[in-house]
Amino acid sequence: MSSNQGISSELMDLIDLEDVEAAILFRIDGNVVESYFGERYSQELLRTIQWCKANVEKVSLEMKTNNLNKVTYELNDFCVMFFVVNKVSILTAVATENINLSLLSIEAKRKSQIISSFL
Amino acid sequence: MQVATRTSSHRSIHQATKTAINDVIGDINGTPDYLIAAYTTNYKERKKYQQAISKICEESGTQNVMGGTFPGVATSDDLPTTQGCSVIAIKSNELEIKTPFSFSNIRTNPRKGAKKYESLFEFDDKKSEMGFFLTPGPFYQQNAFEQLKILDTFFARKFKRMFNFIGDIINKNMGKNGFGPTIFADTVLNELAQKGVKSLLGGATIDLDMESCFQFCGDKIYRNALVGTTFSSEKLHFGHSWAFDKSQKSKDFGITDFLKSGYVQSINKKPANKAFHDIIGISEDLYEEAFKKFSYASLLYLSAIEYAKDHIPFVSVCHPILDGVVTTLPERIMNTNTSNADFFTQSGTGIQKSAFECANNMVKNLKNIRFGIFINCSNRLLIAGDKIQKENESIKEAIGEEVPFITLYSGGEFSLINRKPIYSSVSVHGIVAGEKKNVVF
Repeated sequence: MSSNQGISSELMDLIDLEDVEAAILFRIDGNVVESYFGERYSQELLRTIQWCKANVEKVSLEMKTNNLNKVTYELNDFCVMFFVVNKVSILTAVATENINLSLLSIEAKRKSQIISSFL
Repeated sequence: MQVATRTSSHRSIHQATKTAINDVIGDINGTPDYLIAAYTTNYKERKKYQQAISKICEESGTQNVMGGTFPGVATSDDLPTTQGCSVIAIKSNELEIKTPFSFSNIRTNPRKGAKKYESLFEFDDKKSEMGFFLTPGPFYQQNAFEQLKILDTFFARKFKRMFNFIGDIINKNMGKNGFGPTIFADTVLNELAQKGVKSLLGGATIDLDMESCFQFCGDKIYRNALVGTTFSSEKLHFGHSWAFDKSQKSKDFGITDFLKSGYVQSINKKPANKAFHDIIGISEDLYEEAFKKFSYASLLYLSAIEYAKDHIPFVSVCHPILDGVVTTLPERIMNTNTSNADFFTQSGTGIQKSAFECANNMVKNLKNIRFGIFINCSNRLLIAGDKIQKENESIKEAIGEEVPFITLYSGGEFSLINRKPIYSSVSVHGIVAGEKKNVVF
């Protein structure tokens, strides 16, 4: 399996989880490496993803400065979880507010470690 | 003895199964004597689990397969997953493993189920013997609390006996339809203890969304069955222990009035719901905000009742429409005069320490540990979140870095340790198989 296929597969696994609407691998400068979305689009979801893209650089700087592995935000009725993959990549999961954050964090950590091995 | 473990994660159950079984069979080099296959609950459909478990039986060449569905699963060699499966395969001349059996409708006939299970035990003094079983977990209808409110308002105060009588009928009907708590497991433990079974480890399958949980035996899938087996050996011995996070004890309290089925009416002589909030020191509104996603169960504040010189932890469900508190206390304990309980605040660090304590106790008289099986509460998984791996690292530190083990994140943890039944919540129970250490005087 190529690294691109591997990353795609891991992101598809994430959006297959109940209540997860989007899984995006960002570079810390805000560029998208790979992304997958659930079937339900909405204005709020697009706005949230736009917010992620606009703020990922700031968030990753904050995470690096404070040595954080993950941060979670709640906005527009969505939960956004940023997970450090490596020095230049951040895994982002956008989920509805009903998501069980503990269970999501377990899987996101697993995915970020696997994705890290592909990069 | 050959033991192989693997955890694989994938959105497709077929892919997850294929990866796990190929690796495990490859490592075992032949047909295993016994397999535990545990799947996460995200795949939902019975048909999918049926196909997966049939594939495992076909690929491994054995029908001695047991397992079930859990919110999370893990093995010693990989990170826990909430989207995949974990498998442990054992092939050994040192260990005799009985063909797993199943007993349907365990919720309604726990005594009959225990009798069937008893026939698997050899009671041979020359051998060490350990039982291992899985059951259905707590499973409630969506409007369960509303139904309880009606009963509480009309019957529970003045017609307590009638409430208990009606409660029994409701419990039986719920059981027939596959709903209810896991109190039946306490009956199984007690029945087997009375028949002379010394050691037993059990856990409940669970779906945290209360949609579906399954048990596997051979290539069959069940919804309300006890599935079990026994391990016995002349050479190997079993280490067995359990623990919960009791590092932060806060207040103690008295259960002053209660009904059957674990419904506590008053604590410290006040309505239980209000007293509960007073004891943990947060307002009703804040509690609702914090715990409504967790079915109103206070996972961070675990209560434990004093019983037989021990603390037995139980979950409290504090729903705003009820005056009382729904608990997972078994009737056996509530029927005694015991009523003193303590609050223990749960934390990620405390959970790790308790896992280490449990594992350390198991191995203190053993060497050359071959494998381990851990039943760990799914609530602990929720408390620890992505730090859950640290718990498995603590276990490794205690039992040995190279020892293969499987961890099932359950909806109830059950043990018989030297014939003493332990029916508990938010705890970790485990067994290891190894050689007895020589005692030097």
